[in-house]
Amino acid sequence: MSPQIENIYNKSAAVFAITGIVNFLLLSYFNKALGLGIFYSALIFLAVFFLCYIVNYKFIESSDTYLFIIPSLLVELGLTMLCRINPDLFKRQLLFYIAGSFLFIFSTLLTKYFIKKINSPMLFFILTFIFLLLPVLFGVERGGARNWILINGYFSFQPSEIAKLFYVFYLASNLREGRIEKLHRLVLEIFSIIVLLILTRDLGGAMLFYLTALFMIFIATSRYDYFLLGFIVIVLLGGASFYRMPYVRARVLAWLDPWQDVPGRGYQIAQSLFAIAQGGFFGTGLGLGHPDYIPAVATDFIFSAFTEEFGFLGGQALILLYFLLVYRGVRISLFSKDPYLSLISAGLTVFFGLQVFTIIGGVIKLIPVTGVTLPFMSYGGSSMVISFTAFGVLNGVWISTRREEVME
Amino acid sequence: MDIYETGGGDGIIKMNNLKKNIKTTFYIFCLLFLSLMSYLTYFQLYERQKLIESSYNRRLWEQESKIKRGTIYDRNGVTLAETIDLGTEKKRIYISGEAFGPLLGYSSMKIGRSGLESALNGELLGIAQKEPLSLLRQKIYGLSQGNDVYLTVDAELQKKAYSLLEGKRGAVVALEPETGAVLIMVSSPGFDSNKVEEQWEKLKGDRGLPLLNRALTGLYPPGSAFKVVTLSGVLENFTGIEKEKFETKGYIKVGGRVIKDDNSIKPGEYSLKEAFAVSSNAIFAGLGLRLGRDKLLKIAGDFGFNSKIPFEMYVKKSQFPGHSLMDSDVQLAEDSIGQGKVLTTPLLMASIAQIIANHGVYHSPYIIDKVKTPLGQVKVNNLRTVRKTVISPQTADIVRDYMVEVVEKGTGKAARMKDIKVAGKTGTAENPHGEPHSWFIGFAPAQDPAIAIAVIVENGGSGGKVAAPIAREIIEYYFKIRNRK
Amino acid sequence: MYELLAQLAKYLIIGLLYYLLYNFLKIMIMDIREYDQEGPGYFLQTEEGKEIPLLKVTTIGRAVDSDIVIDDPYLSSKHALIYKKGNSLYIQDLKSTNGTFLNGVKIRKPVKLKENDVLVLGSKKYILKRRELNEPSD
Repeated sequence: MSPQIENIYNKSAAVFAITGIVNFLLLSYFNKALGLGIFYSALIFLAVFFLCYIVNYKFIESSDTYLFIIPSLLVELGLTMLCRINPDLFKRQLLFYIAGSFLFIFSTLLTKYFIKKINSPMLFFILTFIFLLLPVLFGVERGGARNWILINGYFSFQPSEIAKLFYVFYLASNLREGRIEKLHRLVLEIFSIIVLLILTRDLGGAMLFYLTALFMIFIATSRYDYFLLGFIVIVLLGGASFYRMPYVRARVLAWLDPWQDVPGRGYQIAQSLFAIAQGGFFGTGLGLGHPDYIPAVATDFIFSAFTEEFGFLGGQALILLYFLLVYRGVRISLFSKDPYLSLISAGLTVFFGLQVFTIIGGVIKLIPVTGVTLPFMSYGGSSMVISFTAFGVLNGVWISTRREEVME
Repeated sequence: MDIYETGGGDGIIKMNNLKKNIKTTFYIFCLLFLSLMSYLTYFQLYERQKLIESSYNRRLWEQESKIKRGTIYDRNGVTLAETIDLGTEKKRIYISGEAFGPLLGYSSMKIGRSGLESALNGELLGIAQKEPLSLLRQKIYGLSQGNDVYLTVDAELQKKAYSLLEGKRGAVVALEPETGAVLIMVSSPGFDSNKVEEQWEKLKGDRGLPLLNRALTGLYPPGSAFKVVTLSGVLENFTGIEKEKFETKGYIKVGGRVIKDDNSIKPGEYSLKEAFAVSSNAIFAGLGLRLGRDKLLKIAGDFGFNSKIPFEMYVKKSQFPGHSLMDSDVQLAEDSIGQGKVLTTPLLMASIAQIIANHGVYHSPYIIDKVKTPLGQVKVNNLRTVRKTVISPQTADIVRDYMVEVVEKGTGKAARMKDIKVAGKTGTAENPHGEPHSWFIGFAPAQDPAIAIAVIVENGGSGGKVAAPIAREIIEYYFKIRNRK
Repeated sequence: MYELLAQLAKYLIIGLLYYLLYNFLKIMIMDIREYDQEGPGYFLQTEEGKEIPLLKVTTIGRAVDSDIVIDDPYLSSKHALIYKKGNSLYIQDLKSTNGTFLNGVKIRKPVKLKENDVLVLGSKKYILKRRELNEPSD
């Protein structure tokens, strides 16, 4: 590995460590009651990071450790905000991180060895369908959408996240030949998936799934016409839902002019904007903002809370970090020699990128608010674990590609 | 399209396309993310300020609740409004009752801010700091206390003036002739700032409009009190006019209208001084016509009509009509006697008195005497006052003498005091809402004025009968407490 | 006191984040440069001694959107293709009018190339050369 790269890896790890130490020390001071607890948790966090970092770096050949560093950094910033907002959530998110990072390694290895072997679109479709069916049948409502499953009355997760992975595999599997064999069947299958999502009122999810399919079809077949057609369809559907679903209408109206009804439907976005405005260039400083004024701050609006305390520059830095991940994913799919692998990585990247754009866009009022989470930063176990898994897959694809190069 | 052999090249071409599409997709994502960053930037540059100050933004209130709002004092150090610390919260207490309500205003999270509490908000919270050293200090220790503000107003005079209005609708403004400092600013009916929140609905619905500060935002026809301006105009423009004689038949016909003198005026010949003292509408309408609209407009403008008055709070512009499509002599005639379309604020009328009292030199009014920072630093009001020569001292002195005549022998007899010469002018302003407004403007002592005053009682009737005695009592009281010290 | 610390911290954190981003940017640039030039440094040497670098996949022809555009009337618009498979280069004729010759033999199927092979396309001769270059950095 070239010394320059190694150098930069080390610097990144250092940045990660310093950021963590500074933030968490500050938070220990800020929240003196739990001070010691925070300090120890921070140590655990850093320990887990470095453990996985070293495993990745030293023991797994050709691993693209960025795929671990950047998400961990995002998690770290998210943890900082969560700790400040609600220490209970902070603790749980830390556990999710531990699970996520191990899963990263696990899925990297799994993908590296097995990805090419499992190749059946049917299998993946069924898996996707099942996981999306679960919430329709057994789902519990949280925040307006019924896409949560409760186990033992305590442990909850979102099956749509798991479905997300299988869905990308399904699409990649179907499209690897570069052409669509049975268009009708594909369309039907995709629509059935969308319908399941709509049944659980996860409109944001439905949109993401649909757009990802559009992009993947375009990438595989180069057919601009399919893409355009699909795009028009979703615009029409969106328009229809605006008229017939009051829920959607409220969201769009709140997006267009929240000031009309600040205490009512515009409340969320108004509070989000107030927070972002307050931050100025450098932010108010950790602990000096008012995330408590923002609804849903631990999940959807965590970006606003972060931007309030770390400013415009902090917010832009976050956007850039997410963009870097998208770039990294694209790079992996460009380097792959196998179209199947290339499609998988492209699909995962597209889904990820769309999700990030959707949530940040909604929070800053570029587009209406939707119910998707900000991967790695929002509080949420399913989201974090699956996101790490997805990046693990990307890593696996990368390693697999490199091995081929070396072997031939 | 498959003109290539399978395997090898074919797969490569397909891969090529795949890669090309991925690149295209990537560019789309670049655009998407760029739009995020651009919008955030736009937001930062343009939308931000509005949002921070929005009344829905709880952060502002939160910030302020941490700061102990400064105290407002009168010119002698009497406390008018202060914040006391009740441990869990801070409460703003107003000591002086209804007389000060419209002037001080209120500062409430529920209903907002008004009056001086609003205009001085920056100072009272200490966020108007400009010196880098205090700014630095602030940043390190955080803001904890605002600045104290000392007004030029005299609390005792204020209370006296308010009580004399007896809850009737009206206003009193008194200025120091040599400086323009505001001694009294009363608007009646007033309200108790302590009770604003609980009485909000009642106050809002009260026909007497207690929440209005009539001194600054009430616009009234000045009536005959405006003759001071017309007089100044003719004196400045026609040399020797004080020696002329004028005749009145008890009325004047202009265009199709008849403008009548007050019944008490006997038709006959009058000197300028006498005409002014008895306040003959016919003669002054004639003078106005003789002066012409341009010159009258100019002199009115010099006195402060149609311009923004520099003051620490918002003052409505007084209006003297300029040329219009329907210029007519009738309009001009009516305007010259302070009727027609002329509208003025009580503050401006007090300034007119101040100008005459100060030998023709205008000092713009101001109400903040000094500001004291928590560190003890005293900041004297910088933009204290704008000076302007409106009329020559000779003219001013003539007007002054005429105004003394008004009080000695004319319509202002009710303002006459035993040992101090008072100069004044009454006004009985016709208006469409009922009884005429009762005006009195003046100053005392005539030769070396210490106080210039304007009093208006809405729909009070005759200026001489209602406003003049009030002015006299205030002036008497002024001298009484001055001699006490 | 806390406020002061928090204020200092925020500048520090933001600085660190951008430092990180800057480093990543450097890597990104290195990647982009490296991507297009992938291949263990093969290039074609013309009769005049000019060096034409080869990409992972290089199309040769008269058409303007070919990777290597040669204005030779004996060349077809899309004449031949040189691509990398594994660690070697292959040449494939794209059904050109006048054919592609490797070391004097007209090729019909893709053929593996080695250093110093002589290619004739149209009326010109090219020699395959190789340059020492590091393996792609990551």
